[in-house]
Formats: sequence, C-alpha cells, structure tokens
Amino acid sequence: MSELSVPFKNKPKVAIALTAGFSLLLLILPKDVKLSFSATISNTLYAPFFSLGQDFSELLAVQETNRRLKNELLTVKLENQALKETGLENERLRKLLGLSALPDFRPVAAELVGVEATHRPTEITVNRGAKDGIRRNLPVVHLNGLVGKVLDATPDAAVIQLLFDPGCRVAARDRRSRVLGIVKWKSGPYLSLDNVSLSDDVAIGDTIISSGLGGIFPEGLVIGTVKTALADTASFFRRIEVLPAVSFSALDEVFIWVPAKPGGEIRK
Amino acid sequence: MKSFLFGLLGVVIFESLLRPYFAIGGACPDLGLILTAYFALTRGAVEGLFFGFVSGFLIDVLHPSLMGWGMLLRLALGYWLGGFKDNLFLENFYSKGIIAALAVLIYELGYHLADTGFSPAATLYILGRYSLLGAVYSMVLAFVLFFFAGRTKKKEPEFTL
Repeated sequence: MSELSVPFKNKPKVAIALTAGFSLLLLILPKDVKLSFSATISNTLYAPFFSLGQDFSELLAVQETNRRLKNELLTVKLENQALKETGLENERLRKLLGLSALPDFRPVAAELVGVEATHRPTEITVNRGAKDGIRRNLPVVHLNGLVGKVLDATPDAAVIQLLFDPGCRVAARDRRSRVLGIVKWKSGPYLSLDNVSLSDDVAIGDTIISSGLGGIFPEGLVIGTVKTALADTASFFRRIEVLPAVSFSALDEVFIWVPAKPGGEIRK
Repeated sequence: MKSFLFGLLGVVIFESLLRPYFAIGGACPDLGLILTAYFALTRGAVEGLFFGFVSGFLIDVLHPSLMGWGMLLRLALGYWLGGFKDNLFLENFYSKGIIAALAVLIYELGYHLADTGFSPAATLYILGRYSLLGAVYSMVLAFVLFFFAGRTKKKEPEFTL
C-alpha cells in the first residue's frame, strides 16, 4: 500500500498558487487581526509545550535552590555545632565565675494571621497561643532581629506588641562599645536609643542589641543599627536614631522564644 | 504523510521547548528549513513546498508582525530545493547538508530584509552576527539528519527476475 501523498502532487502550479495565495493573504492582513489569529493558534498549539518547558525550567531552578540550601544547611549546622560548644564553654565559665546561668529558650514558629489596619501597625496577631506554651511577655524575633513581645495570648492565637508601639521599651546596649540605653519609639520611621549621655561612645553604623537587663528580652538580640547619633547640647543625653533590623511592613513569620523549661523565662 | 506529520510535530516541539537549549552564541539551527530541505531533496518539489508552507505557518505564528512572509520564503525554498532531488547522489549527505545551509542563508537574508524595513546595513549585521553561525549549525544538523536517513533507508533489489 502506497503512503498517503500530499495534495496536488501532479499539479505543482495549483499547489504553488494555493500556498502562495494563502501566504500573501496572511501577509496583507491588518496587524490586529494577525495578532489575534497568532494568539489563538499559539494558545492552542504551543501552550502545552510552553507550559511543559516552563515546568521543566522551574524544576531545574528548584533543584538548584535545593542544592544551594543543602550547602547552606551544612554550613549552618557546622556553625551551630561550634556555637553549641562555645555555649557549653560559656556555661562552664559562668559557673566558675559564680554568675547566674543564661536563660534557655526554644523558638516556636508562628505565622501572621492579622495586622492592625493602620498606616503604622503596632500590634500583630499570630497563629500560636497558650496551647503552644505562649504566654505574656515572651520575646518575639524574626530571622533579622527583635520584633517585640507577646502582649496577650488566647489558646490558639497571640497578640504581639511590636517595637514601634509607644508602650514597648527594650533595655539595649551598643554591641561595639557596650554602652547601655533604652530603645523605644517616639516618632518618625526610626526607633530611639535613649538615656545615652553625651560622653558615651555610640557611632553611626553600630549595632544595637538587647542587653538582657530589662527582664523580658534575653541578651544579644539584634534590634537595629545606629542611623544618626547627635549631641544635643540642650540636653544631658544624645539623640540617637536606630534603624530596626526587621522590616515591620514585610513580616510573614516570626519566632516566639518559649522557655525550654517551665518557669525558665527571665522574668518569672 | 506520517513522516510529514512527525516532522511538523518536531518543528512545534523544537520551537516551543528545545530552542533555548540548542542556542549557541545567539544562533540556533532552523529545524523547519532542514526538514523542508529533507522532504524536498528526498521526495520532490511539491512535498518540499508543502512542508515549507506548513512549517512556515507554524513558525510565523510566533512572529505575527511578518506573518505570511516566512511562509512564502519557506514554500519557495522548498519548491526550489525539490529541483535538486534528481541531480544529487543519494548517498552524498554532504552536498545535501550544504544545500540546506544555503537555504537557511537565503531565508535569513529574505526574512531580515523585510524585518528591518529593507535596510541593507541592519540585514548584513544580523547575517554576520547570527545567520552565518545559524547556517553552519543547521548544516551540521542536516549532515546528521541526512546521514542517518540514508542509513535507515530500505535498500531495494537492483535486479529482479
């Protein structure tokens, strides 16, 4: 049985006239007609293959991300191991010096379920509550730094007071010079580091961390970096503005530091 | 007809899926024209014309501003290449590959002339920057295609009693 042949096999002139005529017709069509015609055909004919190609390249990207994250995880694990060793050493040395032991916390991941509908939110609600061991005054952090503290907790949710709440105060210190102060929000887009005398050494770019002296936040949580450090001659104190380490307008997930042992928080 | 349809499916898959993976330095082989050359040189002018017409349509759909022009060039090249069918040695895949590369260059010249508003300088730049490499790339792919097509072709007995 012979294979099915193309039309007009023995009439090449007819074949040329038909195909060239159709091509010329397409060529002289208005641009918008061409575009809609092209879109219809592309969506029918090419779309499945395009989507297959897109899925394939996304799969490759996921593989690449997976490989990178595995490497990062390995690095972080090694760092964590080293930090654990340092922590144990620190604990031993503190015991030798007769200092009290550092509080032991475990992070509980919580997702945002509500944000105050104001221009500058000061409170957020998360999906973890008393059932997960969340209580009032527990510190709340983000990967980048301190977020705030738990204001109140129901069995399934908790309200977090952010650093931008005028009622929130954090005992803080300059990581470099160890100068102490109190971080709070007064006005504007920055936090303020108060109670720093004119002679104290605080420079622009310094990292401000929690000092652990306030009784709520453990020592060493990053609050932000010094944006301005002015010497106010009319006052005894310097006017220091701190850029928060956390972007409060882009919060999605936070970690609540729950004491590892019952009653292990700083302030009981 | 089956191989004709497989060829067209190959063009669709190549244009939508494989093109980025085949590109070298911005140049890519023209599978549509390679297959047009294959059908024209192995089956004849009308087959070349029809394959050039349909594959041209499938490719022009992706570049709608000049829709029809690519089809016209491809069907003309398919018909022209069909004229070489009986003038080439069947086993000589080199000459067929070179003819396919020549077809790619002619097509690129014609297409980019229209695409650039018949600007010789812009067309020459595109030809030098992309089309020459694309033609060489197509020639290599055509060598491979014609070589394997020649090997898999059923041999008919020379003498019958």
